[in-house]
Amino acid sequence: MTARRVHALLAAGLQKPALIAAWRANPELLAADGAKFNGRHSMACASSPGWAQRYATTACAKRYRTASG
Amino acid sequence: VKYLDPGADKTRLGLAYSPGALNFVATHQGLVDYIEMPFEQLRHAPALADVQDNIPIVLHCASLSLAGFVPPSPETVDAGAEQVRRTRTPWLGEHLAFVSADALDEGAPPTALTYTVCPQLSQETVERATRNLKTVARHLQVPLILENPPLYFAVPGSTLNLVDYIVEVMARSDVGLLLDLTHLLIGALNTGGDALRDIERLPLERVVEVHISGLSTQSGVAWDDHAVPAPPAVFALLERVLERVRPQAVTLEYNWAPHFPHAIWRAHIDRVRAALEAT
Repeated sequence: MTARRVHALLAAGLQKPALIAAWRANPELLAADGAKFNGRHSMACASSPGWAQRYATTACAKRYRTASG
Repeated sequence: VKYLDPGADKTRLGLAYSPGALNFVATHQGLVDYIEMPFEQLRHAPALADVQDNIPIVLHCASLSLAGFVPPSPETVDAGAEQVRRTRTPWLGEHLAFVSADALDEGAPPTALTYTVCPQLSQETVERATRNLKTVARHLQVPLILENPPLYFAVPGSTLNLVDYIVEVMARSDVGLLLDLTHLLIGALNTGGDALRDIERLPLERVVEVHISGLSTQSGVAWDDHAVPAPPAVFALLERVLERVRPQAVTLEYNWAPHFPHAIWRAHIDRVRAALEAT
């Protein structure tokens, strides 16, 4: 799988945490999107939809929360 | 209008922009040399540049997707260049990360995130980032400096660790380093590394600016947290850096809490200045 595809999967999972839940529940979906579960180096590292939400909250805050103070 | 003239004689000390930071600056005249302002905020609220009536601005950016495969729009690059000219920032800091990527479905518009994400750490993205750097730098009138990203999980397909990745990108480009000490510590904590040893492997002679912020831990993962003070381990990293080099600027990023305590800002400014004077 190319890095470009990995980035696409990461971005999709972060933007829609439900995707991560779906991938975890049904790895064939992820394989169909071009990736496979592979222990530590897998989308499973994003261990739950909550993880993605935390990521978004943290990183988004870095970029924009200062606007509202 | 005030502009920052960094010079080599003294390390400047700044605060990441927040309304609270401006209030601190107003009530503690002379303590802070600059405000680090996100380009994205100036783009959407140009009147914020008025802070330069009182204090210089150093511009920071999170839109250029330097380690990504989907380039920023020409409008974004042009807007960044315009803010560089307008603020006369001495450099532009940007993350070694991506903010947009291809959509999963062919033909759909790219997925645009509103935050930066650590890239796959591989030769493929080293080469991509190197090319992106050259492309973007051509549009800017000031040096671009690269900020090391935090690492929260092992990115699929990675073949390099984060420090080696940064070293590789720096070796293939001539940009300076914006060394975020908290990001470095977070990466070490989340991967079982040793940030003090990592420091020694980085091209410290290219450090232009240092970032300091807090971190918090949730479910065993360390996260960047600009609402809490930096832990002692971050200051230990700062001292190690200062033993080797003298950055042009140190920025305290305590910009997420609406009412960050002035006493902590003051104490950490004093702590940074003491570290600078001790080395």
